[in-house]
Amino acid sequence: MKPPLVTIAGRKGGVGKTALTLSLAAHYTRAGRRVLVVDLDPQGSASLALGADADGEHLADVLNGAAPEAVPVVISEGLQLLGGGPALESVTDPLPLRDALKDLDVDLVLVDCPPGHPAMDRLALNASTVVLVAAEPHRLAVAGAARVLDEARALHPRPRCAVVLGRMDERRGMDKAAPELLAGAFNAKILILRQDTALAAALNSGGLPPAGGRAADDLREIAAWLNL
Amino acid sequence: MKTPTKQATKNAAGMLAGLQAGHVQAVTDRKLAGAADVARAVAVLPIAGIHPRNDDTRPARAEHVLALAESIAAVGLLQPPAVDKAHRLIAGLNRLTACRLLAAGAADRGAIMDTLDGAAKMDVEDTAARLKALPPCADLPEPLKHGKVPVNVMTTLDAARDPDAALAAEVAENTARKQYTHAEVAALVDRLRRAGYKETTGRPRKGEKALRPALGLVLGISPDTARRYLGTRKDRQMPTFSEPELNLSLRANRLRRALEAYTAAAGAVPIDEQDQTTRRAVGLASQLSAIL
Repeated sequence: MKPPLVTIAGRKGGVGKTALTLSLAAHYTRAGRRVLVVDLDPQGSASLALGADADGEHLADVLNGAAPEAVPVVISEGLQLLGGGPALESVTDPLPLRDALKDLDVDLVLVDCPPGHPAMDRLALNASTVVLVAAEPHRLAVAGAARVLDEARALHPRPRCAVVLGRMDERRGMDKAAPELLAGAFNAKILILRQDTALAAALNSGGLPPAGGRAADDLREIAAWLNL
Repeated sequence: MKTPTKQATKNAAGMLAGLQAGHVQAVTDRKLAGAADVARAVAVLPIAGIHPRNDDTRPARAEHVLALAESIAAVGLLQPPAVDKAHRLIAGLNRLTACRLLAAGAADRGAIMDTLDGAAKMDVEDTAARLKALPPCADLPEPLKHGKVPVNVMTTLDAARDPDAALAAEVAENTARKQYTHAEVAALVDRLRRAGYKETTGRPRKGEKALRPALGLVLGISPDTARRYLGTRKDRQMPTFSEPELNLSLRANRLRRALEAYTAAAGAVPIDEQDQTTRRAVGLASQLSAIL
């Protein structure tokens, strides 16, 4: 069985790609799904947040075709990780992601893309079932999101894409107006992930995002749209 | 409906400007991705297995093809033609035609020559003599003697499906060329000289094989650049030494070692990256080494 693969990309840094990836991981593992997180980031942010090794050497070997098979580390029940880190900088001509992951028995793959790395984005986009573009209602993040969306649309005639606006606070004027404005501008589904101190605190302390709170509520809506 | 405030309008404009900038950057992303997507592989293919791309490219030029055939017979094919994944020719029609001419063998070379563009304008006797001087198939360099040529296969390019990409690849292929070090150029010049090419001034006489244009042909550079590579100038004389000077063997030996070290160090730099002074110095150093 080919598990669905969700690419979480955004091109710009700091727009909430990793927070979204790990929030989704927490949501689906709580629902009893076996989730694999693939951390394509040479900074290894998702790996660091999960308290795992963040050198990226094994994943680099897998993508370079130097490792016979991908062996994820087990983070908790139902959650496995192929860790990212600096070694990923050595990957120049990677195997297609689906080929690299072909023998893994999981229910869902979440791929956390790095900032500013079009080649890694393409690697993930080429293997995606769904693309979630992380962004914020701000000029610089919108530019990054547009690049990812254009890329996704160039690779597939009709990709399943949504833009997830993170750290949203509707008391701010920009945040309030953004969803409607950007839905039209991107011609894509807009999902919201509200500002949530508990989410930030959990990631900071090396744990998974909490089951309750604003962000967790929003995650349920995002998962409902994903429908995986 | 509520009228948006001034700030709200500004906010929206900022985001839309970002969107526009992102679209523009995405175009560059796609271009770069496309360039990276043209994967290459070196292969050796039978000449007969390489197909013409279409009929809108220029025909092979007789004079150019014959000169190329002479140089390829002397030093081999240094700049392989490029083909797409179905082995349709992308770049290197003249080079491929020269290989076809050589591989056809002595009996059929004349007939191939006659089909080329501008063949009718060439001197009949001179052309016949030059064709006759080409080596028989058995003496051609590998893999030409077996009717095969080295090619660069653009494994993701399909010229039939994407003629624009094929044209772009052709242009890129014809403008990019390998960088040669001084030592590589010197070795080639040596091989050409041994094959009978001579440094001439002015127009080569009938039957004379001129070194400079031949070097230009095999390296894919202009005759002027070839002149620079050769370091030849009409006014440059070989330095001469008197008998007592040459007898100062100790100093000469020291000088030779120093020159060899200098040439080796400077020769490792691609010739196009050397400044004029360095090139001149390297040329002079090799001349001095030759004397010593």
